[in-house]
Order: sequence, then structure tokens, then C-alpha cells
Amino acid sequence: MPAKLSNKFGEIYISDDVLANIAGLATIECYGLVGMASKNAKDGLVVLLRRDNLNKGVKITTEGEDIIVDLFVIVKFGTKISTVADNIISKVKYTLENITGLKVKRVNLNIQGVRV
Amino acid sequence: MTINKIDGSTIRNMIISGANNLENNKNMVNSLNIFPVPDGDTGTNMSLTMSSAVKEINSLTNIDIHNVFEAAANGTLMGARGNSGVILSQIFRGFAKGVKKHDELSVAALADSFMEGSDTAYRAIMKPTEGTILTVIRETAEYAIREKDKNTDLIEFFEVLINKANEILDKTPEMLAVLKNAGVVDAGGKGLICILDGMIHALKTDSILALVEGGNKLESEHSQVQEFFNTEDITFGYCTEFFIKTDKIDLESYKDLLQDMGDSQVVVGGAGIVKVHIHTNNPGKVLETALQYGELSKIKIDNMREQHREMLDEMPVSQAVQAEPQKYGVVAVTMGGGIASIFKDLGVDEIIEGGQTMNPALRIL
Repeated sequence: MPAKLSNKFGEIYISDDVLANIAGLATIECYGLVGMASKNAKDGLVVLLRRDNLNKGVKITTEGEDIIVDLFVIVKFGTKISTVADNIISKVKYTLENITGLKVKRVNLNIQGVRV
Repeated sequence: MTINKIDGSTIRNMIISGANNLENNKNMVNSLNIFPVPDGDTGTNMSLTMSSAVKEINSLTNIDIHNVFEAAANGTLMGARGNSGVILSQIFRGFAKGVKKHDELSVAALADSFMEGSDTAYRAIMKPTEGTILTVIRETAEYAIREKDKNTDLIEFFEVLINKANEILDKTPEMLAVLKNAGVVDAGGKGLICILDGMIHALKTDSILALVEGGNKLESEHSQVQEFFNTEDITFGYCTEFFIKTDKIDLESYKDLLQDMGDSQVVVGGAGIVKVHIHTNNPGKVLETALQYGELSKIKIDNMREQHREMLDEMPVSQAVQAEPQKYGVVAVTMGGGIASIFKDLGVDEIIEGGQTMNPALRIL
């Protein structure tokens, strides 16, 4: 379901794909992160995603004007993962809210792997 | 005085001085913080990261260069806070790795360690944003490698490097539009230079740069950055600070408890006293929880939204028109001095030279 914003002239719908792309692009700019991982890891294998299908590592759930973001990422070994995670979450939340004007309710970060 | 190599205790003094210098200047660095999230905490984050390194170094018994760098790397890793902190920890990890290849810290070893620091820092990011601390360390390192054969005196070499780093820092607004719009240089890069400045001070004087009570005064030209985010953007309104007199507290679980109540939390403890700093919307609740552990003292609660509004009001505004705020202003677009002065006489607030097209950019208006 697309996220909805309304003003006095009408309504604005922002599709989940767009949100996922924004979130994905914001995520890969974060320090300590080496890649997005596919969320459909049916076979248990985590696949590093290429730039053009970044949004596969992002799951967006919208509840009216609230967005919940799930991110699936791979981080660099030797960084403090908790801090890197904090950074990613705050960056994604800030970027999404700043660009779209929607409210990000939660950002859940799933670390799917570490790369040495 | 020429110095060709640095021993363990000097490098220890250098790192401690670097940390102290950063602590002294953290307010200035904070005020520059605009990217990736303009929350004004880069200086604090970097300083806390460095102080964790200092703690680690101070607990060393065997002070040789490898041990000191290893301790700095570990300390920054464990204490990393914020983006800049994590990057700093990677830089130190690289330093430690670079130094390991050498028996003593000479100019060549220093250049290598810079390069390794930069490489390690870059390996931990998928899509580096240029115009940040990363750019500063990389270009400085590349320069160090190019210059390492020309110099054997470490002081001179270090000075050359810092000059280069400053030069690159000045270019960061050109590389990153957010910085340019706000008219600042990168905060993380500035923080790194503060550390380097502290380090060279120690190298030159062979002593540790002292901490300044309350930190160095903020240079006014930077405080304008705050103008670029709105008072409404402050999520947690009250900056709450206090001490708990207790010795029965588990810091980690207490931190978790605070986590849900706000952000920018700092909890440090020792010898029966715990200092708490948090930005929250429920200062009462925070105090209530703290009371369970023991007596509270030096309680200080500031309304940050109010502070921010006051700061905006007091801000010296650069343009003459805005000096006396008024609800409406009249701007005339003119060509030539004669017409301009006629408009001035008519009471126009501001005159813009129209140029050939008489169609000035919206930004000027």
C-alpha cells in the first residue's frame, strides 16, 4: 500500500518502491556497511545485491502516514556493529522524513552477514 | 630540533594530546555537524571515542609503539560512537596495522600508517561520500606517500601533512553540496585535524596538551549552522543532566533503560558516582527512574527548543535588511545607480542590481 500524504488541494501517494529506493540509497551511504542483502533468502544464502536492485534489501510497510522500514544489510568486520546500526537507522530515518515528509515509525535493521 | 623517530611514550603523549585538543574544541566541531544528520554531536562523539582510546592507552604497562597503537585501535573500536567515531576507529585500526610493518616510527612508517589508515577506513564503506573525514584522511595519506622521501624530520613532515589536511578540509564544501549550502566545512574532518593538531603540539613540546575547562570558546562564525534546522526538528526537548550517588548500579542495563526515553545519552560512572546526560521529553520520568538507584545531585534541565529559539533570535544576521525584522519588505530590481537612488528615496528596503536580463536569481531575492 502506498504511503499517503494529504494537503488542502489533494492527496499525495508515494509508492513503496520509491520509499524503498530512497531508504536503500540512504543506507548504502552509511559508514561501516558493505552491502544490502536480499530479503528473500529462501535457501539460506545471503546474496550481496547490486546497485540497481537495491530495494530488494529493503522492506517497507506503511500504516497511513507512518512508515516502517526493514533493512537487510551486510556490515564490515571490525567495526562496532551496534554503533554502525545506530548510525544507519538515524540516517535512514532522517533522510526519509526529510525527503518525503512522511513519518518513519520504526527502522528495523537485520544484519545478515559480516564481510572481512 | 630534528626528530627522526618517535618512541612509545611520545606517541602516547601525542594521542592523549590529540584527544585533549579535540575535547577542547568539541563545541566548535559540534556546531559544524550538518551531515549525514544535522544533530550537532560529531565533536562529542569523536571526543568520547578518543577518550576511550586514551583510557586504554593509560592502562598499558609496556609502552612500545605497537602496543600503544594497538591500544588506541582497541579503545576507539570499543568506544566508537556515531559515524565519525566508527570511521575514527577504522583509521586507528589501519594506523596500528601500518606501523606493525616497521620497527620504529620514522617518516616512512608514518606515511605508511596514514595510507593504511585511509585504506582500512575506505574498506568499510560501500559508497563513500566525498567531502567528509574520509576524503581528508585519504588525500592526506596519498600526499604523505608522495612526500615521504623528501623529509626525514618528523616535525616538519607532520606539519606539512597538517597543512595539506587543512587545505583539503577547506575544499570539502566544494565536494558536498550540503556543506556548501550551510557554509561550513566537514565536521568529522575538522575533528580529525583537531586530533592531529594536538599530536603535533605534543611532538614539538614533548608534553601533553592540557584540557581547557569548559572547552574553547565557540567561534561565532560557525554558530550560524544551527539556523539551518528548525526548532521543530528537535525531537527531544529537554537536556537533562544529573549525578547519581550510588554504587549499586549496572551501567549497561541502566543505559538500556534510558535508551527508550530519549537520545544523545551519555552515562559515565565510577567511584560511587554516575553522571547521566540525556535529551528527553520526559525529564521527570528519567529522574524518577534514577532515584531508584540512589541520591541525585547537580540536577540541570534545559529546554533545548527554547535555547534554540533564543539562539536564532540573537543570531547576528548578515544582511542589513534583516537587521530590523519587519513583516513585509519591499525589494526593487533596478538598473543603474540613478534609478536605484530614486527607489531608495521612495523607501524601498533593498535594491538589487538587475543586470542585463533584469531577471535576478531567486536566491538573491
